[in-house]
Amino acid sequence: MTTYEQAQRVSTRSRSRKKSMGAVIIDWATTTDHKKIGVLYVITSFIFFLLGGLMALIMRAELARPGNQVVSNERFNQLFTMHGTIMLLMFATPLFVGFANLIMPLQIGSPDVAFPRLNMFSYWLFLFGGSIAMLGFLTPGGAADFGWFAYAPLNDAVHSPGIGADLWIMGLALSGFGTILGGVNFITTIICMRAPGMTMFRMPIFTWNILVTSVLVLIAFPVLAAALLVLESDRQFGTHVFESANGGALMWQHLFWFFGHPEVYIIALPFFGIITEILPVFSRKPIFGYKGLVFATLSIAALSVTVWAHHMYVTGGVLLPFFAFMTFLIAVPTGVKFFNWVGTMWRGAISFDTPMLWSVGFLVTFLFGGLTGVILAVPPIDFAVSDSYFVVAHFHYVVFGTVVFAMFAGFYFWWPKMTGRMLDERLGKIHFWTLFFGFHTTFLVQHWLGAQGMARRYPDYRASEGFTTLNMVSSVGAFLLGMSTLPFILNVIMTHRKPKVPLPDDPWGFGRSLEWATSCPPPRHNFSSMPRIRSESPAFDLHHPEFASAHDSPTRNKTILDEIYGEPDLEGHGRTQTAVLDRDDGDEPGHGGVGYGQE
Amino acid sequence: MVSVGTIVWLSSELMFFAALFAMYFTIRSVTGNENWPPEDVNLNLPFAAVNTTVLVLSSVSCQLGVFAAERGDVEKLRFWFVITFLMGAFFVAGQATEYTELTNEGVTMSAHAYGSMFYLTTGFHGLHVTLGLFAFLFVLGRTFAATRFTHEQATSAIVVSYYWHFVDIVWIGLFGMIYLLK
Amino acid sequence: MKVEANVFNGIGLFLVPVIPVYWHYSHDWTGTTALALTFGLCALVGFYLYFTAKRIDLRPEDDPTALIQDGAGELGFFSPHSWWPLILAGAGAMGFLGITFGLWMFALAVPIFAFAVFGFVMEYYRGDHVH
Repeated sequence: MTTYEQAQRVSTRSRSRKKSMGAVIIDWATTTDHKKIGVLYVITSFIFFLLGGLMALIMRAELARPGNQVVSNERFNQLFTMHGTIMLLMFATPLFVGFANLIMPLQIGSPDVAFPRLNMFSYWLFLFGGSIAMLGFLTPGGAADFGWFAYAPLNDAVHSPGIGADLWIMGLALSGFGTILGGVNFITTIICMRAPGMTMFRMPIFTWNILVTSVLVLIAFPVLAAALLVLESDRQFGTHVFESANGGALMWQHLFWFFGHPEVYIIALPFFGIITEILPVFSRKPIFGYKGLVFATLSIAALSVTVWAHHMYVTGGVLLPFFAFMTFLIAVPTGVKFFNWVGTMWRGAISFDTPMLWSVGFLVTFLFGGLTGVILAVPPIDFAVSDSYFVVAHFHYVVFGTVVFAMFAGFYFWWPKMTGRMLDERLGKIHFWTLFFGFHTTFLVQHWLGAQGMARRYPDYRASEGFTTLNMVSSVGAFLLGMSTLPFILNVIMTHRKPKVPLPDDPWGFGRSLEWATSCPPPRHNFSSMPRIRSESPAFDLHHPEFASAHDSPTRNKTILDEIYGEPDLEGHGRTQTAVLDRDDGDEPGHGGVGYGQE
Repeated sequence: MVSVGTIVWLSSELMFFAALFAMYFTIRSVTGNENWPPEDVNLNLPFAAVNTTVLVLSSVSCQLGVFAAERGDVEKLRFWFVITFLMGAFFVAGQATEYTELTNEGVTMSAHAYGSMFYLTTGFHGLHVTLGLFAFLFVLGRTFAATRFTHEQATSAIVVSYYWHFVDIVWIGLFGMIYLLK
Repeated sequence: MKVEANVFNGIGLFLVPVIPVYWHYSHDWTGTTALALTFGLCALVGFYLYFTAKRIDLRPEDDPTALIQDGAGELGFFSPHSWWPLILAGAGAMGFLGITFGLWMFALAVPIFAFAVFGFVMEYYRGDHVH
């Protein structure tokens, strides 16, 4: 096998040396390898992230002082619309697809996703759809300017006549179909292509979260696609669906948020998954309450389809008690997750490598956002601060805290797996601290701005309103936040200029899930050999057999609490099969692990 | 694997139609039952009933084709799928006739909200039926292109039948909603 | 496969009490219809997986004591690389753009799309791949 591997490696190297530019482009454009498609997704969505960030900086520059300095009001409307659209639908969502492509098949021991060509098709739909939506900036009327949720009747042909709006609608519909097909692909892969012994309750939490997220994609995205296509039909073919006379204004909000709220969890759950992968590795401890995390994720998924109208409290047309109650309820499983994350780190041998630093940054930031979320779920408070900067601060804490912090955590953590190189730790830490302080300077003060009454989406305010100081602070923070990307880009460039040193399968030393049991980067179909899978951390069992028997023998006589909050499937783990069977014959109560050494 | 993927994808299609159903019901309840359908709309219920029957029967013939495929009987599979194709084509032609009649009576997409919803719901469904017809052609094409009839082609036949049954069930829902619900 | 089925069944089960309660207090057609068909989504996939699980033997990936070699054999067919996704998505994008720019573009996109679907579906049934 080693000879075969070496031969393969030599042949790839000699081939890649000969490759011309054109051949490389063709290779990437026609690829069906989930790892390459994942890289394409990650690069493309990161470019969109930079574009969206640039738009945010322009807006913050405009808002730094009273008066119109930088852009016209119309351009400002386009900027906040496209900033929101890009960040949610062309950055965060495809980034989930990218990470899922890169890591999920490795974690379940699969050679690829279930439908490789469909996978590439999804990518192209995302790229083309995103580009079509951006095309609006090149048209005379500019890009769409009705806000990222495009409320009716502002979105109709009379109030938004520009072609930028049409491009926005069709672009999002197209990339939405790509996301749906991606979700179908992931669900099928997870159901049908796991390695032998990889039972559902041995899948890493990241993979679990990809599964649940994909289910939410199936629920949410088709509703958006249908609403967008019908809206376009209203605009182009004169249908009357979203006219206010027919109740269309409220109906659009219902349909949009029936997509929009699950969407929030679509972009949150995968990134929770990334954090859950990183914490145990750098705490040198197994996940605390594995099944608790799985069921918390499932509860979030189920509840997330019943909270959509908490975005619509101020319409006066929704069932307030129902949505307030459900929104409070969804905070519970999220709290369970926090409990488990803290429990995982509790008394662990924590080392603050860059991925861990980002993960802790996530915990802090997301906690703030989660708490203001509970505040906003109270209808009387929401009436007061709805559509103010308090809401802006809230969702940036939630979404930025989750997506961006976890994205960089994932980049630093899996960079060796993706590229075969380690990113520089020192630059990574500089990157983290500039971003962390930049972010909190920008958004913490916006809570107060909102509470004082500054409305979102206004390009200007008067000096007499008393918003100037906090806005200036926020803008300074925003530019610090923007600059924090530079150390990262520098890091990437420097890392890839250095000569390549061969990395072990698990460069972090305590990697747990299956992706750390193959080379960095993995071969075309991922594994040249695979370890036996007897727990949720087969790579750790393989590299540290000395711990396997001492720690993680299955609990016997499981109670209901063990079943819903306890460990993953550990049958056959830790000792030879017969030893476990021997122990099962006796009926001493308690932990299997306690009696270790008695035999 | 292909069949699991198809079912998962069909479940997302269900949500696509969910949005259309939701629009129909909402606009209907806002407009009020007494104005729904508006005075000028005369739906040809017997005609639509015949069309519906043909579509439902095509599901049966499609399933007979699948049974043949599972036995490895490629001749019978082709026979039943051609029958199904013809019945599906009959349905689409029937829809086209109905559209023409209604348009001639002045009921168009832009006439009123009822017209919009009628054409959008049945139109998106008709698009799915048409795509299904192409899918039958591809299954037939694959049976001719391959030198041997393998389980792979049986799987293609099975997943296309899933799709066809799904489209059929959605139509039954639409038929009930548009033609029967008063 | 039972766990997989229960992922869907669980979400569906949660919706069973929620839908009537929501309808009773809100009389909101939009949300109730969407919730009802979300239940339909869960039921469709959940039942399919449940019955498939009953029909087939325990798969190695569902067996906690399975060995890697239990999964030996053909896993499926994996396309090494393909042009068709690009062509298909390009035609799709052109069609979507056509709806905003003008129906001539849409009309142009339809045959290209049909050609691409043909290529995509028949890619491994033609030429060198005939089997």
